[in-house]
Amino acid sequence: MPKDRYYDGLTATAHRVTVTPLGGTLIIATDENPQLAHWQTADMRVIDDNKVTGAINFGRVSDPAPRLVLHDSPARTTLLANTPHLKEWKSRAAKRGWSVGLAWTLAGLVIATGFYFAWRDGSAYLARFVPKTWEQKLGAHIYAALNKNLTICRTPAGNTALRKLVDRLAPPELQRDATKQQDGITVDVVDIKLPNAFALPGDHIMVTSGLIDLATSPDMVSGVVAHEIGHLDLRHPTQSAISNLGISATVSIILGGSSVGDIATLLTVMSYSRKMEHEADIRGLELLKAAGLRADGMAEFFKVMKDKFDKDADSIIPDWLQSHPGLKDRADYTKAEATGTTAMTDAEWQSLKDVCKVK
Amino acid sequence: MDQIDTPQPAGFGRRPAEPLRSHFEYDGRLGELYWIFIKNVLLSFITLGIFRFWGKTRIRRYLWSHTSLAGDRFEYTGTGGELFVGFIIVMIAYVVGSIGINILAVFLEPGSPLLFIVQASLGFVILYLTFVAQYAAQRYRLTRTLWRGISGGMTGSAWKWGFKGMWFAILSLISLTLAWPWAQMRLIDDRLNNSYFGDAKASISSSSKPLYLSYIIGNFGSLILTGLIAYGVYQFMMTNYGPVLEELFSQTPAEDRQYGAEYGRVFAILYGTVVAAYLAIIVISILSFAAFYTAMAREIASKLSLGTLRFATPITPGAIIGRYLGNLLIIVLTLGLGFPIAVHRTMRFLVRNTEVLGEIDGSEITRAELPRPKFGEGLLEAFDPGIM
Ligand SMILES: [Zn+2]
Repeated sequence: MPKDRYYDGLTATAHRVTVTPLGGTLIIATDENPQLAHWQTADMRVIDDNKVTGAINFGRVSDPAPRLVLHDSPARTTLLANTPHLKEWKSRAAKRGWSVGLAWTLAGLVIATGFYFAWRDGSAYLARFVPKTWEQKLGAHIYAALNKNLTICRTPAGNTALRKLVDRLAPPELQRDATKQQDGITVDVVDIKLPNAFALPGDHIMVTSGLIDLATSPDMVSGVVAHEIGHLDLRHPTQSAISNLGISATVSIILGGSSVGDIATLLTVMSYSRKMEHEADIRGLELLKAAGLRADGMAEFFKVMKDKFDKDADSIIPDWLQSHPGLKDRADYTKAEATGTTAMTDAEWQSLKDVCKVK
Repeated sequence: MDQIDTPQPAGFGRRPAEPLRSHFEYDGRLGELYWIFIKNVLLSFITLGIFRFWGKTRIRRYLWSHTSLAGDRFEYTGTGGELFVGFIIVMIAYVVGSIGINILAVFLEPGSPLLFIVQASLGFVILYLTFVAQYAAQRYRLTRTLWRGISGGMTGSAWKWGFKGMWFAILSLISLTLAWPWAQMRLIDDRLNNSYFGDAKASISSSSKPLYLSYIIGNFGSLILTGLIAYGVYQFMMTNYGPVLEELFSQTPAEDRQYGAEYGRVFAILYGTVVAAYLAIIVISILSFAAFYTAMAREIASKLSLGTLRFATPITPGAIIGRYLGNLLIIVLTLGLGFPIAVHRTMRFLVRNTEVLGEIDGSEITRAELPRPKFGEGLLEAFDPGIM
């Protein structure tokens, strides 16, 4: 009895067969039926090569189901010798494996790059469609979270001085205007020693006491405030919230688990991209000039920051890798003439300096 | 016609008045499996894990093609691409869902009832999808399994069955898990009664009664026993070292303490007794788990039929313990490198414990055009990272 088997793909019958290669055709025969099936050798493919039994499992390209299992025999040797694509199936399969792998890798890279750019530029685009009311709600969450953990400094004179500066700098769409139902910008000084300032969603600005201490003139503060208003004017908080939302989703996929509770945390440490910082610098300068204020304070402030924090002239991390443009660069491109009026009177400046000292 | 009567391995001949009994056979070699495994690990590492779908496919191909019934080998026809695409689809759905939930969390008030509902239903959604995934994965594997040129198939809706599964899981919880054996058998019945090989439908109507004895002894017996052991430990410690322990856990000032020198020894004894009690509880749990699954496998095997074929299993609790515990130890002790050994053992376990009763003919089984899913087990990949 022949060991070789043929399954026609129509019934689960195991036919015991003998095969005869004849030109480009393989004649499959049983004892009862010498013409059970004819397979074109060009249509045949190797499915698998069983090392244990030595049998090769053949299929057809044109029909997924039928199978022919052939053990080593002169007929099989002839078949393989006359049909190179069957003999070389392993190397062909390997070649195909590599090219499929390469194609998937390329596809993966393209998709990843696509995602990166879509996210980077897409968030700026999407931000335009986010209604201001959404942004205000988000801002209220973050503001409430910060308020709980931080000390906000308040003195009537200090707050008025800062308020006046913001009102002079803010473009019309960020002005307080009851007729247009615009709330305008809110600004606070928080008691943090590290010099910094943030623009939060919902048109909030926070300036740290450390920044006011470090500034040697009101024009430096006005430069920083102008920069933050620039962020707000360009809707950077919403933009960054959108991209952080995506990042948090991605992170939660990689690390597993949901990130619902973490979103507020993520947004509070919200940082802007290099591109956004640059845009905010430029917009800030425009705002200073439009308000008729001295615009040289911004560059001066970057210099002061650089002297305080970048003791080594060149940082170890190359500039293009840092999330913020280097302070030296920023000081260079924001350099401006010392024309225009000073941001505050001496009395106003003094009251702002004291805003966190009165308890 | 030229049907083949099953070539029977020696020792499995027909006994008078007994149906023909055949076994599945697995003749894979551990060395070959290891070679596939090592290549998979390396390639998965290089491709940041993406290769694992193709790797899994390679392992399955090897296992299927080295398993045979009645002298005819199985073939796995799934591809890595199908698994990968299935995974990508699930991941995209996951990203979209997760962004949606984040947006809700940001824009709804913290105490909002809608947010509460969304967060509370999240667990149910995951439970639901776990069931859907099981059904869909079974369908995928059946449609990708070929034997004698005929593939398996599955009818019915995974989404519908998922609801049933979730409902039964909740019901079991309400019944203090007493309904669980019953629910589990109903769910297994559903899946099997929708399964096909060609046009031959599997058919089963199982009973959960045989499961209850081991289940109740296992669950409640081990609970009572745990209480007894805990009580025994307490009594033993108090009668032998009562005064020392009382002083040890009291507020007595240091200068008034009399048994200070014995603290170390008593503490060691206490620790040892507690560890011994834990081990006893673990052993009891393992035994009842094994008894439960033995009863389950026997019930399924004895009630299942496929066409004219019926099934049986010589499975024993010892074999189940050997398989699960053995595999666990192998994988843990080798830090995962023993994975092929565990797979190899599992295959041998399955083959040894599955018997087919009846004449394996097959000429009356014809190909059936059942729906063939285009993508692989994405959901299962996400919710149940099984070993194979
Ligand atoms: Zn900035």
